[in-house]
Amino acid sequence: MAHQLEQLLTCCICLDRFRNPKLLPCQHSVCMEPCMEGLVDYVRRQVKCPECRAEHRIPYNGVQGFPSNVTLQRFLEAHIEITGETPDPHTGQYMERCAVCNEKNYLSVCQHCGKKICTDCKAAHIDILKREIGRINNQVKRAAHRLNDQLNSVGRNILALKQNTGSVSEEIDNICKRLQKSVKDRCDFLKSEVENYYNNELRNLTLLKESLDQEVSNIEANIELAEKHMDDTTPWDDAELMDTKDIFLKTIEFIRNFDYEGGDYTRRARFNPPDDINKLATNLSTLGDLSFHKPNNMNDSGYGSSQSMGGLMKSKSDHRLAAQYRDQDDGYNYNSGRTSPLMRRRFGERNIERHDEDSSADSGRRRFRSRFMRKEEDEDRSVRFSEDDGTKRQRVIDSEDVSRGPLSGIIRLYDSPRVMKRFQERDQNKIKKKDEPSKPPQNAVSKPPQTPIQHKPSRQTSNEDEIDKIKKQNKAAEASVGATATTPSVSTSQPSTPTTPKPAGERVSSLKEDERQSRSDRASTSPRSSANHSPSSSVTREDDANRKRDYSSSRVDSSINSTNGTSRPPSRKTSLDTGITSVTQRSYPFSRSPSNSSIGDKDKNTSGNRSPRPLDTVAIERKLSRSNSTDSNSGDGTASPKKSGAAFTTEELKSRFLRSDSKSSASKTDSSSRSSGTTSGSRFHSRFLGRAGTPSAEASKESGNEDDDEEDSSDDSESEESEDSSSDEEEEEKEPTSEYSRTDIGPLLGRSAQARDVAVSSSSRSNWSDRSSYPPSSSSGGDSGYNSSRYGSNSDNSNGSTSSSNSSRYGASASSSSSTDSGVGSHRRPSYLETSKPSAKEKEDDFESKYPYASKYLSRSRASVPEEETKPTSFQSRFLNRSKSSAVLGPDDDESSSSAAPHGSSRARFEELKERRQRLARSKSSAGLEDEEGATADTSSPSNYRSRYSRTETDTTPSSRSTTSSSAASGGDAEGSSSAQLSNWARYLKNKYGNKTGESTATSPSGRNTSIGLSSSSGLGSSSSSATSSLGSSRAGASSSLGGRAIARSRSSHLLGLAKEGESSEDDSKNVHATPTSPVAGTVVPTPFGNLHRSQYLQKQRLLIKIGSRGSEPGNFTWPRGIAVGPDNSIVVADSSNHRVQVFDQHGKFVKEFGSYGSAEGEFDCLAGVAVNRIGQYIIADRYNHRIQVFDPSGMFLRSFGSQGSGDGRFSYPWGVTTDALGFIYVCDKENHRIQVFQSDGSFVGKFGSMGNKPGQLEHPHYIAVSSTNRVIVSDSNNHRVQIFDINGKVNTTFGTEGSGDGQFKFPRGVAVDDQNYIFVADSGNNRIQIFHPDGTFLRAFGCWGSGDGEFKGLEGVAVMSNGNILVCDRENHRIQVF
Amino acid sequence: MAAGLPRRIIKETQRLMAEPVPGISAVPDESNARYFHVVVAGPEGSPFQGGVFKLELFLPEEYPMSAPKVRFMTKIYHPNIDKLGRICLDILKDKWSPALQIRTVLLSIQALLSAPNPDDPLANDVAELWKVNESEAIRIAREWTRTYAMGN
Repeated sequence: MAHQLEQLLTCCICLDRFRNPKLLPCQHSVCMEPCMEGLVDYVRRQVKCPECRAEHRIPYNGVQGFPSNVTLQRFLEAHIEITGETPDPHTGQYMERCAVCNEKNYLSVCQHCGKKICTDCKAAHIDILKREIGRINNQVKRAAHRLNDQLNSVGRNILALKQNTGSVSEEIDNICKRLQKSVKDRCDFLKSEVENYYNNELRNLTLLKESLDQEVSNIEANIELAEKHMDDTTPWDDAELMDTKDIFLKTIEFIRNFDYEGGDYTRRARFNPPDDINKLATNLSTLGDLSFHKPNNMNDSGYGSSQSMGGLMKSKSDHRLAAQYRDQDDGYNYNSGRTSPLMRRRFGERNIERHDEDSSADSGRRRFRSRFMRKEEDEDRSVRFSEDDGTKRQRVIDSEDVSRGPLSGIIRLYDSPRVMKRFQERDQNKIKKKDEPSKPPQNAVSKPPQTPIQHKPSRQTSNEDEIDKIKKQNKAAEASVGATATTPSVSTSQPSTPTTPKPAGERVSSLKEDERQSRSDRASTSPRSSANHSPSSSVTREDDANRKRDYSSSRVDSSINSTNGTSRPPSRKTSLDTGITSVTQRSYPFSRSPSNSSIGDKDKNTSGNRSPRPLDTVAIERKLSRSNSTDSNSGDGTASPKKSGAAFTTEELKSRFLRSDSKSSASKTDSSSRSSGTTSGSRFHSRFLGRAGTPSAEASKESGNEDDDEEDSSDDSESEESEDSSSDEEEEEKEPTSEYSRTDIGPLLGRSAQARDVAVSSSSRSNWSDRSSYPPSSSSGGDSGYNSSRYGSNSDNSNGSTSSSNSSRYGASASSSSSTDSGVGSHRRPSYLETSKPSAKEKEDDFESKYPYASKYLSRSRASVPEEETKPTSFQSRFLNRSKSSAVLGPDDDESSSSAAPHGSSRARFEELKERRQRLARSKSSAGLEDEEGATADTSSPSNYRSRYSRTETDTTPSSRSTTSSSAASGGDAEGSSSAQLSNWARYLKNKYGNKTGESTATSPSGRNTSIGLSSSSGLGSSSSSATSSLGSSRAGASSSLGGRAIARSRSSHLLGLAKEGESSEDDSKNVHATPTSPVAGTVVPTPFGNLHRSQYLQKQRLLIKIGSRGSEPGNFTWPRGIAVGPDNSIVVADSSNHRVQVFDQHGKFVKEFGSYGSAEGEFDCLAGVAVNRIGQYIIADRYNHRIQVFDPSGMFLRSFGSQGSGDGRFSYPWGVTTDALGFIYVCDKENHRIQVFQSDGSFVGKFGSMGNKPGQLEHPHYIAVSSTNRVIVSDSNNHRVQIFDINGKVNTTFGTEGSGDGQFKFPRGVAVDDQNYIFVADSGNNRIQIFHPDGTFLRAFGCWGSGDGEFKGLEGVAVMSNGNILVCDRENHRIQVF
Repeated sequence: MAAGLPRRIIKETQRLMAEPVPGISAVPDESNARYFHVVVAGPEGSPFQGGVFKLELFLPEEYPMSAPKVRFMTKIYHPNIDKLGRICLDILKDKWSPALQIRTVLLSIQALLSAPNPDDPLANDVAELWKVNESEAIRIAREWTRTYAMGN
């Protein structure tokens, strides 16, 4: 019965209860909506009864015109009353077309899409939301470990911080103790002196007193006698009287003559405080400095050091340097510590924040965003979806009274009242389900975040109340207090409402409840909550913005200064200095100060005075620096001159600056040798003084001026000077130093001031470390000589070291720069030589004519001749060798002698400072051959050397170099000027190169000296440097000479690898011209045998090695893609679909692997390109993660940069990656159709290329290679061609068209270039390797489709080893082939 | 998924599950709630007795305003069912009414098996034979039933 009744009340179409039933003429009833609508035949204006198929005309006013079946409606109402069924929720609502499915239905607004949609669609959307949440949740889960990692690392950092600060304070304590001790010692000493003096004097005086007493008593007695007895009573004979008279005469004479000149004993002993006791005091008060690192490198603990703390300073690994650099660049110097991460925005406010950032950001800022921040951004991104929702609607869950993460503002869902409510509902539903199992499933599935669905209308309406209720319930539960009205009401409601969980009764009860909570809830849902947290966030944001602004402004200032400096050379120094110093100071106050102090100390040492004097000099130096630099850092003085000089600055400024620096350094040396007093005055003074100190002060001055004005002129003048000065040894000495400094500058020039700073700091550090390593020497008098000599060389070293340090920053570059000798340098050189030969030719000729050996030298230098003999002829060659071949001579001599030589020889030198200087000059100027040969040789040699030097430089920068005839320094300057046209980056490169040449030469000669003159201490520093692998980094050399410690340090600073190389290369070079064992040497080799490769390539076809097959075990591959050759000739393969990198030795033996699938640090997702920089770091293009990762040589993750996008520093499927000798990273940003260039620290440098097929445009560039001549070779895959760019992104050459003929391509992929500039292209579509001449003309091709030896299926990367072996990634065959 | 599942279909499905029609089972496909796997038992007294016939039934987008699409999957010898399994049944065509449901349609089909209508044929050869030699036709139908509808 009930069933039939039910049926009668059910519409036959919708099978629901009738809603507004319409009575058809056939007496059947149909719902008005939506059923009747479906029955209408619009064409015939008929309605067909679904029951009886009777057709009825539609009334004039539409189906609405059919009468309502009132009876049925009454029945329905009655039925509802009887059964207690809820009334139709939609009464009073009208059906509309759903915005999604276009069905007529009752609609409600969907929060997901923002449209009015029907419940079904809404359910679908809810489903989507749930799935999205699930997906995001998965992402979150996967990424959560990042946070954990960071948590761990924070924990570690806390420990590290503790340790660090502890050690720093320990160091400070140490220093304090040391200083106190030395002061105390001195005091004791002085006191004891005073004591001695007192005793002596006292003794003397007492003696005198006694004798005087005696005299007085005698005389008195005599007087008495004379008075009493000199009368007639006593018979005196004449003789007696005569004698007596004589005695009295004598007495009177004595009395008259005796004049005790005791003087004023009150002032006899006097304590003469040092002249500059005040300075000393100030020095002490500013003793040392703490440098705190900015937030970017959180791991970096601030390291403090003070003057005497030298040893404590650890050189940083290059990425740290890079980070530092970056920081500086950013102007992120939080002098007063870093902001806490909490200060940063919360994620909710991201948009605004971004805005601020953008507005405040100048170009650099974003790039340099710390990873941390980037990550944050990522987080933001990942949460985007919810966020988007949030913008549109009130936040339901994210109410105010929940606990939220301090960093992200993410709330804990469990705490949200809404969520709690949902859970409760669910529980209720479960209970209900038990009661009525047939309950529709949808009801049970109430999902927390979504707004309630239609069939739970009551919930919707009484949200707040319910929340209140829930809260209360929770409270009640917690407090175990009796349940408030809410719970009972709920329970009561349950039975009454079968389908809907929330009964009316509940609502009522909830309403009854105090409104406070509900209100708060309400408020929390919308306005207040947002208001509440947005303001705070905004505040923080503002702070950030302000800070940023500050930074930017400071940055700007510094940059301005530097730029100014560059633009106007002469008078700007002070301003520049200030700018520079400020920059440098900010970043490295500490390191600098130590280095300075150390320098000062050494100088003093040279002068021989241990304690007071050195301080004085230091103080003076400091003063100088201070006067120059606005900032009054204690350390600045010396540091600023040298370093800043090296570091900062735009070219001219730099050059000028350097000059001044070098001069100052020279002056320092002078002063040290002569008197510290001279140095005092302004820096300019010092410069002058230095010059003045040199015999031909005028000339030097001139040169200086000229330099300032124009480099070219200065060059000329310099060359002249040099010739003039050749006679004058001292002058020579100075000039060389200046030159060196200039060369240093050269590198610096290109770079931004900050980079320079870094380099400087590093150099300073290195210097300092050297010094520090040599504390005893400084203390010993003999050492002083050494020091001074060293110092002389130091200036060089420092310069050199700066440059080297710069290079060190780029790892490879450092090695190359430092060791022109070493492979890098050599290979680089040749290229330069080749390129610039024409211009240099003349000079060469001259040079050769002048110096027969020069040619030899040249040839040798190229060929990396190893000899160390002291013969004059050999000397040149040697010199060359050294410079180019990498400190061949250095190694043994230096190392053995370095330790010994410094002391002993230094002493000798100390005695003969002048000699030494001369030698130095000589050595610098020309390989120290003169030492043995003599002065005559000196003159000629220096000039020659110079010419050569300039020549090399000209080679490097052909355009501007021609003018520079002799002085390397000038060359550097010229470089700068020439490079001015170029982009900074290019300039930088050029400068670098220029530097290298300069440096190498400089270092080599010095090294030479040591080797030759051993005893001559002049060479010592430099020689040591050269010895250390002739890395060119004088610093490294010095360190090596100093001892293991220093070496270790240098290594730590990344030179180590280089140094090792250098050493090996040294050995090699000794034995022969560098044997191929060391990569560097290997690279050197090819030059001489230019044609060798060609023929070799022509013969290429035979498979040498085949590595791997498909698989995921070590040694097997799954779609290998990128391939690269490491500096040790290891083979590095990007095993793409195994998501790992595999490393093999040069014979194909598996060495190691690293990486796994994922998106965390050190994980890959189908990595593609791989590259190895000169210090063995692996650079991986993590393709699907859209980032570049860098690993250290052991495979440990160092850093990653980039994310998906098309902005600067973002990638879209990065593919090929490569690096040049300077450590710049070139990335084929495949889907962005461009190349991006980064520094080794991941900071964006530049980009070029855009989608298209015109020259300079790219379409899906896949692989990239950079030649030693800085030609950037890109496989423009979809354009079926190879393009060669210069480092500025300008197209040099384009070759190849689509096809399969010689020189044609089909989707070329891998490219490689050897040191001869032969180009190898993996012609993927044609399954062959093509080899091209450097000019892009076809040489040969080999390979075809197949899986046999020498056959390919789907080529990917290609690489070439230094011995000409060609490595090919045979992707579909899952193997590597070596030809 | 575009519009979700109309309430009516859900109701019908639930009802089919809750109150199955004797001799008929209709189960919605797992991936598509508008697609039903139907099994109809051959009615008693017909040549199809003992056979188990599989059908597929699809509710078009317009359902219930248009008829469901039904087709025999099992081969059957019947004058109103062609060899592709298409059914000639008026309520599946012009006589469709939204008041009809899946269950009524399937009942109609079951009835059709009991009462073949060779005058409104779809399979002409079968209809011909049915008209000319009904016993032979029934024999073949039985055989087909045995062959195709009783295998499993």
